[in-house]
Amino acid sequence: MVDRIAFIFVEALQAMRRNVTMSIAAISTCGLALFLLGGISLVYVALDSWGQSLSGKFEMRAYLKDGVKPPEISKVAGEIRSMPGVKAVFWIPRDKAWEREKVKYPKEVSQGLENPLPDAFKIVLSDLNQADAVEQSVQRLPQMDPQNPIQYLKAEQELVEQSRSFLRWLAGSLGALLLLTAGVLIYNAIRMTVFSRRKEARIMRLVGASLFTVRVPYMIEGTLHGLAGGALACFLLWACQLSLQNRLEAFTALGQLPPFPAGAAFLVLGGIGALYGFLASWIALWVPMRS
Amino acid sequence: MPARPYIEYRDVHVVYSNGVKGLDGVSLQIQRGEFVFFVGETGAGKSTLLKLLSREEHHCEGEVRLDGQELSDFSEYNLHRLRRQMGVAPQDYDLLPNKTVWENVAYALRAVGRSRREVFDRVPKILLQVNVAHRADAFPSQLSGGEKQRVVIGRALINEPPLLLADEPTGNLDAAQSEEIMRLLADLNARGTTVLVASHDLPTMEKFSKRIVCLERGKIKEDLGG
Ligand SMILES: Nc1ncnc2c1ncn2[C@@H]1O[C@H](COP(=O)(O)OP(=O)(O)O)[C@@H](O)[C@H]1O
Ligand SMILES: [Mg+2]
Repeated sequence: MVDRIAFIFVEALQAMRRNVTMSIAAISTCGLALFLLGGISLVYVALDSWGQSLSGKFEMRAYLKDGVKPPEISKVAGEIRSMPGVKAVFWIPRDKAWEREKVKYPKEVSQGLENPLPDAFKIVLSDLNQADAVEQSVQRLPQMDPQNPIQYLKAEQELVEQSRSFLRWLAGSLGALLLLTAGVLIYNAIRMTVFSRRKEARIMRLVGASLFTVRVPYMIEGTLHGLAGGALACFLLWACQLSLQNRLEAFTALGQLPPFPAGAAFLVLGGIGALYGFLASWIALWVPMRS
Repeated sequence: MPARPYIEYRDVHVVYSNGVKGLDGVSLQIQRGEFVFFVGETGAGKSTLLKLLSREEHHCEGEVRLDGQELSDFSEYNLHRLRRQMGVAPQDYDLLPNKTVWENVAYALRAVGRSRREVFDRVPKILLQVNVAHRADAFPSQLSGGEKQRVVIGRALINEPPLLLADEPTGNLDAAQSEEIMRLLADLNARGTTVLVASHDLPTMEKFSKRIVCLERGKIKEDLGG
């Protein structure tokens, strides 16, 4: 049994050695396709978690009408705090805000002006998706100033959403196109192998080798192409992450990238590649050869 | 009642895709242990007759039976079961040029699932049997026509088949080498193997008084017992 497997594997490796150029083309295209797909998914995941962390830091500023008294202010704060998607509510008294403004702009502002600022709430959100609903509910409260609309980072939220759908689109179209190309190349490589080994195949069949023994080496070859493509993609991703990390180290504010999930990436990309190569070679054997 | 024939062709027609008739109504019976020459000019249908048995060609009409099995019942997927019941020495030598004599025979053994140990055990015996043991490390391009033919016959013996099909085994050989090859085939026949040989080498055949089936344009013209 071990002997038989050894024979079949040696056959597959010899087949790959025969047309190195075609093998390299198939492997690198497959690798590139998986690299793009893998890279885009990683960026997608990173963006998602960035969006999540953004909403944690994400705050709204809501302004109260003039003359609302502190006990009522804390009642309203409690109401807002109980809204879904709200993490915390802080009252920013107009006096405190004014003090801060004076410190920031000592000359222009403090010259005998009366405090023009209203009382305000700082509202910290826990869920970015609820931002619109929170905004509307808060604005509807009678104590809030309709003249002074709520301020928040709508643009950032939209940017994250748009980037995500763009990435989805990019991954979908470009990745699919490349994967298709890789499939065609693997198919071609197998066809070339079948052609270049037709003499061996004929002899094997003539002396009574089963179709399985003749064909499995080609399937192994295709699968190995896919697997090697997956490994290549993994390596490229890792290299990208590394160079990105080095560049980002200058900006301490952006912090560390999450560590590269080498094992998982290899399992997923290698698995997809292997499966893909298997299918491509299966089709290559299934479509009859014109002699 | 006579015993069931080992090989039976019954009103067999073969038409190639270009419309050429390979065989045109052949009926023939061969018993176990026989030695039969198929003779005829080029294009008479000798190779077609052999290739039907190894299922390298299909018949479109009639019946071809080996040991009672109708050969059209074999599909691509169980064809190897049929092929292991026979040895085939094709017309073109079909040795792998980048492998030595030893490796050519070993490769065939490995392809039918023999272990490396069996290969080391069997290859020398086979090479000895066909008398090319001294050329084990030579490449096919370094062999004479007769030696190549011996290796091809040796490779056909890996499954110890009860039936051997040899297509023009003396095709490119001089008289002395031809006779040696025929003697080898006759030896195998003497030890019980049924041997079918396609040939147009009448002088060599006449030295071996065996059954001769004469073909002409896809039909049997004469069937002379040995
Ligand atoms: N694969 C093929 N396609 C078309 N015609 C063929 C093919 N093989 C053989 N023939 C034709 O069938 C006839 C018998 O061929 P064959 O059996 O090879 O004759 P022989 O071996 O006696 O020379 C010939 O006319 C030959 O041209
Ligand atoms: Mg012929």
